[in-house]
Amino acid sequence: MNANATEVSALPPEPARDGGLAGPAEAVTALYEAHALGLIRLAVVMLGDRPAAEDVVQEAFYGLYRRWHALSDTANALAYVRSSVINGCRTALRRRVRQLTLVGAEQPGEADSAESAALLGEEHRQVLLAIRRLPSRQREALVLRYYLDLDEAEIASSMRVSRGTVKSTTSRALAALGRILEDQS
Amino acid sequence: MNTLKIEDRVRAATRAAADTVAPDSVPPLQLPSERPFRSRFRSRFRSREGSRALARVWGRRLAPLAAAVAVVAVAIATVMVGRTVDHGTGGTAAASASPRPGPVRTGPAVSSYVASGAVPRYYVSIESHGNPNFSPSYAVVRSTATGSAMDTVTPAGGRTVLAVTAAANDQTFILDAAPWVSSSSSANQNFEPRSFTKVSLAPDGRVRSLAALPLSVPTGQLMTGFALSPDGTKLAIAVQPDNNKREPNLTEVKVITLATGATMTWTANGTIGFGPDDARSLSWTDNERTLAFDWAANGPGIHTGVWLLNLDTGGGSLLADSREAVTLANQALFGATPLAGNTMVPVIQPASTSSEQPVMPPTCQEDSIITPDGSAIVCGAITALNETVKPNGAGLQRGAETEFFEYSAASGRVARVLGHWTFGSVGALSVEVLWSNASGSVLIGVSPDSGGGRVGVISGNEFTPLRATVASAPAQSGTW
Repeated sequence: MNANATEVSALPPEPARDGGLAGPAEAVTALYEAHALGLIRLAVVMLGDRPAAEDVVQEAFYGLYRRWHALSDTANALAYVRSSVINGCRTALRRRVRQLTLVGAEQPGEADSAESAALLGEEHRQVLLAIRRLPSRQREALVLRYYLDLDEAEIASSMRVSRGTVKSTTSRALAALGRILEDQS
Repeated sequence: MNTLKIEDRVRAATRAAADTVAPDSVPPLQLPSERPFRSRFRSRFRSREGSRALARVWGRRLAPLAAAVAVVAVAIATVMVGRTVDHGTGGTAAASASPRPGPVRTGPAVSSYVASGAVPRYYVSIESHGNPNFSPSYAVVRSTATGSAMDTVTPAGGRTVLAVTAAANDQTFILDAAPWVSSSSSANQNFEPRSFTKVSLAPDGRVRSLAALPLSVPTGQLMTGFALSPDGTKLAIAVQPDNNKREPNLTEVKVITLATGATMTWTANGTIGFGPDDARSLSWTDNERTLAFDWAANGPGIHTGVWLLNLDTGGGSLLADSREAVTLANQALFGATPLAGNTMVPVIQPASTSSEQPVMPPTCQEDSIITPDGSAIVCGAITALNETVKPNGAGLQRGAETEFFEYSAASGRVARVLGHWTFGSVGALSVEVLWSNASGSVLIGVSPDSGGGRVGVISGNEFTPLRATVASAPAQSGTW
C-alpha cells in the first residue's frame, strides 16, 4: 500500500458515530474531513479534472448522508463512499465518453492546464493523457491497480467484475497504453 | 526512449497527478438539509457567483452534472407529456395503465412470438472459447425460439469477429472482423483493419453462403458504427479516419452500395456511437431514406441526441443534411449560468421503495434506434434504487427502475413507455434495445437481473427471457 491508498482505505475509529451519539451530518462530515483528500485525489486521477472530481466526491458524501439510515453497518461507510466515488467517476466518464475516451481527444483537466504543465513533468503528462485515452473500464482498472495498489480481489469487488476480468482488463489496458505511448513518442 | 516499465510509469504519473491536490485545498463538505439533489448544486453555484470568469469555470465544472440534469429534465418533461398524451388518447397499456413501475410480468413463450412472425427466427451472437479477452471470437447463428446453435462462422486467418449487423429478411447478416490482437501484444484492437463478410442463411437457419465484401476500414481508422440496410443492399458505416492524430473529432458516415461500391459520404465534427464497432449507433428506416445516428456534438459542454440523416441528399454535411429528432442531453438547456432561483426540478418517487429520498428517474443508456417505420426512436433507460453496502462490506447492493422509452420521431416527445419495471436487487445496470419491430410495439432488449442482464422480448409491459443469450456486452447479446 502506498500513502495515497492508505488515505482512502483506512477508516479511523469514530466513537461518536459508532456509539450512536452523533447524527448523520456530524458522522458524514467527520468521515469527509478524514478522507476527502484521498478521495478527491482518486477522482482526479480517474477524471483528470479537479472540479469534476470535487463534485463526484461531494456527491458521494451526499449520497452517504442520504442513505445513512439504510447502512447496515456504518463501519462500512468508507467502503460505501469509495465505491460511490468510483461509480461517480464512471458516470462522469460515461457522460463524456463519446467526446473523450472514444475519440481520443484531450480533455480539459489537470493534465492539460497551464497550471498542471508547470506541476507535472512532460513524462507524467504524456502518461496521463494516454491513460485518459483508454476506455473507462481499462482506465479504472489501471488506477485501482497502480495508483491505489489494490489487489485483484479488491479491484474485482470495486468494479463488480470477476478476478479474471480484472486480470484481462488490466492486461489489455497496459497493452493499449503501450501502443498509445509509442504513437505519442 | 523511456526505460521504465510501463506499470512504473503509470504509478509515477498517477501519483504525481494526485499530488496536484494540495491537502489544504480540499473544499468543505456541503450537506444540504432535506433538499432535492439539484437544488444543492444551485446553492453551490451561488456561493461562488459574482464573477463571470468563475461562472464560466463552473459552467465547465458542472458539464457532466448539467448533462445529467438535462437528461433528467428532458426525460421527466417528455415522460410526463407522453403519459399525458397517452392518457388522453387511450395510449398503450403500458403507458396508460399506471405511471408507477411494478415488477416484471412474464410474457408468452418466445416460440409463440416466433410462430406468429412477431420476432425474427434467427439471430447471430458473438461467442468465443473461454474468456473473449484472451480468445478470438466467432459468430454463431442461433434460433430465437430455442437458443439452439444452427451454424457457426469462424473467420479465417487469425481474425476475430467484432460486431454483426442484420438485414430485415432474417437471412442476411454482415460480420465485422479484424486481425485478433492478443493481450500480450502492444497493438490496439480498435485500430486494426476491418473487413466484412456477408452471411446468407437458408430457411432452416444453416449458413448457405459466405461472401467477403470488397470493402474495408483501413488500419488506424476507428469504426464507431455500422448497419446493414433492411433490404441488405447497402452498408452504412461511421468512422473516425484520423482518430489519434490531427482531427480526432472528424466523423464520416458512408453509405456503400454493396453491388457497385458506390459510396455516399457525409462528414461532421463530433462522435457517433458509444464505442468501437457499435452496431446500434446507426439504424435504418424500412424505406431506406433515413439513417438515424446517435450523436455527441464536438465542442464545450455536452450535447447528445439522435439525429435523422436524409439519405436523399446524396452526401455532404452530416448535420446540415440531418435533423435532431431527440435531444438526450443538452448543457445549453441550463447553460453556464445558475438555474433560476425558483427553478424546481421534479423527481420521481418510486412506489416500490419505502425510502423517503427522491431518486433520479431512469435515463437512456447506450444507443437509441429508430423503428423501421420511422415513427419512433427507442432506447432503454435505468436508474439505481436504494444502494446500500452489502452486509459483508464487499461492494454495494441495489435495485433498479427501468423503462423502455419510445420517442416520437416527429415531436421528440415520449409517445410510449414499454417495460416500466422495478427490480429489488440487480447486478449490472444493464438495459439496451437490440431490435424493434416495425412500429416499436415489440422489442428485443436487455433488462437487468442479478448478473450482467438478460435478453428477452418486450411487449406491452411483459418480458419473456430468451434462452442461450448473454448480455455482458450488447454485441455479444445477439443481432436480429
